[in-house]
This record gives sequence, C-alpha cells and structure tokens, in this order.
Amino acid sequence: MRDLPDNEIQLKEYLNSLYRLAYAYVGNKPDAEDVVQEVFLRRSKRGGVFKDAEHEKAWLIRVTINTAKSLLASSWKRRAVLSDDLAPFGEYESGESEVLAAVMKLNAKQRSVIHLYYYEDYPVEKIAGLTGMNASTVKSHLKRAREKLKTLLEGEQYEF
Amino acid sequence: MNFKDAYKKGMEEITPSAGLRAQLARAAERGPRLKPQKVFSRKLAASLSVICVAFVAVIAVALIPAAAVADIFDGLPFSTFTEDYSAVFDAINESGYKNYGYALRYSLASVDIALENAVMDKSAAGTPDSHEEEYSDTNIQVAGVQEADIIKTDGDFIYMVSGNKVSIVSAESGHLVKTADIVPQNNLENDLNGWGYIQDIYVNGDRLIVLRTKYFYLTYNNKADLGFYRRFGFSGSTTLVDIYDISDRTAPALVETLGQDGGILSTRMIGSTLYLVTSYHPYLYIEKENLFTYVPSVYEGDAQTVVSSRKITIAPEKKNASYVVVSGINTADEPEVISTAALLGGGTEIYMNLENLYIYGYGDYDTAESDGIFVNTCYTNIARYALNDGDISFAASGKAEGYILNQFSGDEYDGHFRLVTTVNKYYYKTGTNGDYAYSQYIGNEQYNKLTVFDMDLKEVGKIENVAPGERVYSVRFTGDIGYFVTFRQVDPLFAVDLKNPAAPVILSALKIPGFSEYLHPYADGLLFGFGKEADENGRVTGLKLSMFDVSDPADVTEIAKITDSTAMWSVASWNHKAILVHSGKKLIGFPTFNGYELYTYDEAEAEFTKLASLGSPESENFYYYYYYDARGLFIDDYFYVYINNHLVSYSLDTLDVCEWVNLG
Repeated sequence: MRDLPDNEIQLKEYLNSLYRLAYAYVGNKPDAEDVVQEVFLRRSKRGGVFKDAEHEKAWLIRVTINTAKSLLASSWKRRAVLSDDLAPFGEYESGESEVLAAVMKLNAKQRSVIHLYYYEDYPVEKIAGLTGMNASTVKSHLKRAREKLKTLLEGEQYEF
Repeated sequence: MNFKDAYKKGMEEITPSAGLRAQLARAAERGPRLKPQKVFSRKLAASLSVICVAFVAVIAVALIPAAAVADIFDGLPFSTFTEDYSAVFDAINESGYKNYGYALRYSLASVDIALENAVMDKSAAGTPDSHEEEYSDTNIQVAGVQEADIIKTDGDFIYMVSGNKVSIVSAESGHLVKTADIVPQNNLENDLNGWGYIQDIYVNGDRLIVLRTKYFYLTYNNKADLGFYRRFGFSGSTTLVDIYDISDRTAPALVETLGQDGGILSTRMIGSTLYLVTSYHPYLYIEKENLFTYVPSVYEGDAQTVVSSRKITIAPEKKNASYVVVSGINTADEPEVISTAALLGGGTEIYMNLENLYIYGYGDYDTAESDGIFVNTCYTNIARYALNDGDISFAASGKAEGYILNQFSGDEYDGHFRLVTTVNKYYYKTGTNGDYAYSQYIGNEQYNKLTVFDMDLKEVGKIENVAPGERVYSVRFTGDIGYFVTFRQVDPLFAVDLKNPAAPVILSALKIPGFSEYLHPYADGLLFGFGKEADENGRVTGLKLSMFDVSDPADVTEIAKITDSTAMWSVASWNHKAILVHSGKKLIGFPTFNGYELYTYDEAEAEFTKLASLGSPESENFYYYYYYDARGLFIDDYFYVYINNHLVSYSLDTLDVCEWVNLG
C-alpha cells in the first residue's frame, strides 16, 4: 500500500502526533482516526498560513483536544459505546503496554494532560495554554493522575 | 523504571492505520484541487464595475517552505501547496493610499452627517415586536440577527459594560444585586500590550461574549522582541473576543479568548455564531516574503494565522489599502474560529441577514465626458458574502451610484437586494493656460436613488432623481415596501412599492415639517419615526416623535406627533441601539440631555404621551453629558435605566425609583 511521499515528512509527524493525542483522549483507534480526519478537515476550512510550525502544531493540538472532547460529549458517542463495535475506553487494545492500559483508566482530562506532559514533553504552562485550563488546574490533574497511576501500576515501581 | 519512557514506548506503537495513510497518500498524489477559478472570466474582466476575486496561483512544491501549509480540498485529506499572496501584495503596494489606512470617504452632505456612527437598531425589520416578550432586547435591524451593545438582559439579569469591565446584576422586580464583575485578562500569547477597551457585549444563554479592542504603537525595535515584524513604527489594533461561561452568574469563567487583527467595524450574532467584522490597516513598510506585514492575522490560543489567500477578495479600486476582515466564530461548546474572509479595499458599513453579509466598500467616482464637460459620479462598492453556520464565502459584488447613509440603507428580500443612496455629480471642464493645466468647476447635482439588485448584485431596477438637492435621512424596508426620508426644508417620506423588482414605483410622498432620522415598523399599518421638528425654513426646533399610518402605502399620513423643544438632539438619532420602541409594552424611550425620556403611544387615541424624564437619584450631581449615551430596558413591570455606570430601577406603575446601584 502506498504511503505518504517523503516530502510530507512534517505532515507525517503531525499525523502521528495528533493521532496519538487523539488516542490518549478518546481511548480507541477508530475514534482517534475520526478525530484526526476531522482535525485536518477543519484545517482545510480554516486555510491560512501559520506564523511558524510551532504555531501550526499548537493550533492543531488545540483543535484535536476540542474535537476529541466534542466526540466524547456527543450523544452519538454515548450511544455508540454501547454497541459491540467499540469496546469501552481502555479495553480496546489487548496487546498494548501495561502503562498505556493504566493511562486509559484515567479520565479524559487526566489522560490528555499526561499525554502532553510525558509524550509531547510540554511544560505545565504550555499545556495550560493548549487546553484552556489554568496552570494550577493542570498541576492538580497531573498530581491526581500520578497518584492513580501509582495505584494502578503497583506491581512495578515507576519513576514519575 | 521511568514512566515517561514506558509511556512513550507504548504510544509509539499506536500509529494511524495503513488505510488512513493510503488515503492521505492518494490525496497528496492527486495534488490540490481548488474550486474552478472564474476570476479571469470575461464577465469580470470586461467590467470594471465589479470587484474581482484575488487570483491565487497554486503551486505544488517538493519541499515544504516555512510558509507552506497542509491543506485538504473537497473534504479529502491534505496535500501540500504554497499559498500565493502575490496579488494581495501587489494590490497593496500599488495603492497610492497605502499606509494611511483611510481612503476617500465622501460625506452625504457637508453638515450634520452621522455615517460612521450609524450602528444598530432594535426593531425587527418588517415585523412588529412580539407582544409576548417580557423584556426588551437590543434594538436590531433584522429579526434573528442579534447586534452587540453596552447593555444586555435575559429577563433575569442585566449585563453592562461598566468602565473597562462587565458587571452582572440580578434584577428581580426592581431589586438590584450585583453578582459579579468581569475584568478582562491578558490571555493570548500575542496579547502584547494591555487588555484593551471593552466595546460591546453579547449574551446568549449561559455564554457572555466580551468584545474588546487593543490599540498599540510599536517601534521598529520591537521586532527583535517579538520575533516577527509587527506594526513597527505604526499604531494598530487587534480585536479580542472573550467567551465566558456564566452558568453561575456569581462566578463567570473564561472559556476562551480569540482574536483578529483590526478594530471593530461591526458585529452580528446568529444563534451561537458570532460574526466579527474588523477594519485592518497594513503596516507602513510591507515585505513581500513576510505575510505578517500585510495580511491580517487571526489568534487562537498560541496560534497566529494569516488569512488564507483563497479567502481574500481584492476590490478593483486600489485607493485604499485596508481590509475588512470577517470571522465566523462558534461561541458555544468549544469555541473556535470557523472561517475567516477578508476584503482588500476596505469598507464602511455592513448589512447582514440570516444568509448573507453585505459589505459596503469605499467608493470612488466614475468620470464621463461629453462636449468638453466632465462629470464625476460617486459610487459605493458592494460585496456579498454567503454565510453558512460560521462559514463565510465570497459570493458576488457590484456597485451602486451614490453613498449610503447607514446599515438601514440596504435590505435583502425575496432574492433581491435593495439600496437607497444619495448621488452626487460634480461637473467641471479642463483646459490649459500656457503650461498650466486647470480644471474649472461648473456645478454639482445631488439627488437620491433606489436601486434593486439581483443576488449577483446586478442592477435590475431603479428609481432615480428623487428629491433633487436633498439627501437621505432615514431608510427602512418592510417586505416589498420601502420607506425613506429626504430633507431640505420639509420631510418627504417616500413609500416605494418593490413588488416588481424591475420596476419599483413611488406610491406616495408625504411632506410634513421636520424629518425622521430613524424609522421603525411599530405595529400593523403603523410606522414610527424618530427625528427632528423644523420650521418652515427648515430650521430644527427640537426632537420629534411621529406615528405614520401606512396601512395604505399610497396614502401615508402622520396620525400623531409630539415634539420636545428642550432637546435638540439625541444619540438615538444615529445609534438605533439607544432607542427602545416596543409596541407590546406601548413604550418608547431614548436619552437626551435632560435625562432618559419615556413616552407611551395609545393606538386607539393615536396619541403620544410623555410618561417621565428619568434620571439618576443623584441627578443634581450629574452633568448633562452623562445622559447622552444612556440606555433603557424593561423586564416585566419594571423599567431600568443605565446612565454613567449607574443602573436605576423604576416601577412602571408609578415611575418612582425603586433602587439603584453604582457599578463604576
């Protein structure tokens, strides 16, 4: 199967990055793909040139979070999760890592904060800007998420 | 073990499916697909009278330059291309008026015009106010299209711009309790200099929207600090939209701040979608490769984007290098900018209904010559944008002879756009005296005109030469009848039948002393007029309220009037949001020097009666100018006046003061 041409490395990067963020938020692959599609659709509708790649990525991350949030909030989603097509969050990927499985047991806000902090390596202030929370809220989400993760992963001693 | 490494390792295995990637690859290979460009069609090229669309060359590139973007067409995944702003750059660069940010703006008359201040009104066009309302809302032009103001109510709370903050006051049966103050914060990365001035607000359910404009002056040295070129050596403005969740009226929570370059030209709101229209002037120095020096930006959180070149339309006259920038903004749920369009060439005023936005561009004049006599005829450019839930797309353009008065000058109804203008013609001849070329003024001519356009903004019908020597003072359309007032010594109120768009007919011209500056459909067969009384020489003697019987448009009569010779003007003469006209509650209110004037109209007796001149309980300490921009509204049986940061409640039964609160 064809893949994206090499000259679209930047887009490939965005794609992986946004897809993983969406996955962290919605907790399953089909929804994550929907979210990513929607994000690029919005990018198209929006048009325009960003100040730089950082700005573009910041915009895409915000829209990804908003889209994922809307998806979780939509009544369609609430109905859909009851069907057999989609497993409840956190149980879709049987082969995934223990750490990932534990993260999936957190709530959506905690998951997104954990992802931006540990995967994207963003500092708390930046996460606040991206998610629209204030920095102290981000910190408290991080704190509670870590506490819960420690309980969930008690078999292994992880350093946070 | 380190959690971060374990998490990253786990996440690396989560990759987009091959199917999705292949889909993206196919789209990338096919290349960008733009909608067919009709820009260079004969239709447009042949007609200078039409605003042309900026032609955008699209070049697929092998590498992604810094300014390139990922994009998708026709709903398919993205492909890469470079947006080309050459046409935009050239238009600005060629403009003789670059950098000054203003252009030819003709006045309708040499005196007493109020074009710029004409903002919005509060009555639904063509439909009398509903009698079921229990509170009054901002006076608007088009039913269903909200307009911003300094005060709003939802029937339980009153929201006011009070200095540079917004106050929320609960108003239960005249009992006033302040529940919260909202003070804007710096909350955009690019929110560089202060928090700006609050202009207006909207309230929609549990969302409160604050519009504020920041003005700043930056020097060249700021470039290094900012990391990008921005308004160096030139002042500019950016408009910010703060969206608050007010589900708890005691604790408003900021949900989002979005921004757009330029100062507010106008705004509208349909449901939860805000349409923000700003006027933006490029920098003193523009650099072709630096888009931020000449293309307006939109701000969302950390992201600054310039408007897509595909969304920029260039007006043919390059007299003005400013833009009108329009964004559709979703204020509900997760707020976002849905789309942004820009008109290069500037604009002065807008008209918006549920489907379309009309921007009145800066005008110019056409020159014709006959037997050595030249005549310059002024005109106004018009651009129509189609609206679709926040999506804004350029749809048509045209031009009309003459100048508009205000947002009420135009109206769309049943597939046609109608516009009343005042036309000015300037006659002169030219010659040479030795080496010296001169032009000699011969005379000028002024008259009024009604033009009917189709949706492509092509003229299909007109009435010309109406009231020569006079100018338009007010306009209102109600379905297929249009009314307008001209004035020099007496007030002809013209009623026009627009049933046949190709052949509009003047049905009647009622001549009475004075003139109306604002017309408001009051109830079935009744048209309310607010304006000035004048003597037989056309000299203004005071304010006047008129009620016209328009049940037979061919025989319009003034069935009631009341005048106030103690007040010579009111802010309501040019700001329709300052007047309250409510037939259900039988109330008419507006501010003057003397206070907030409240009148009632008795339909059976065809008679106006003044109820009261409402002031502040501290009125001895108030100077007259505090009254001039007051607002009044009612909720059930209580009336509320907002004057100089004081909100005062009155019982409508007794018109006595209940309570007041100082929000300053």
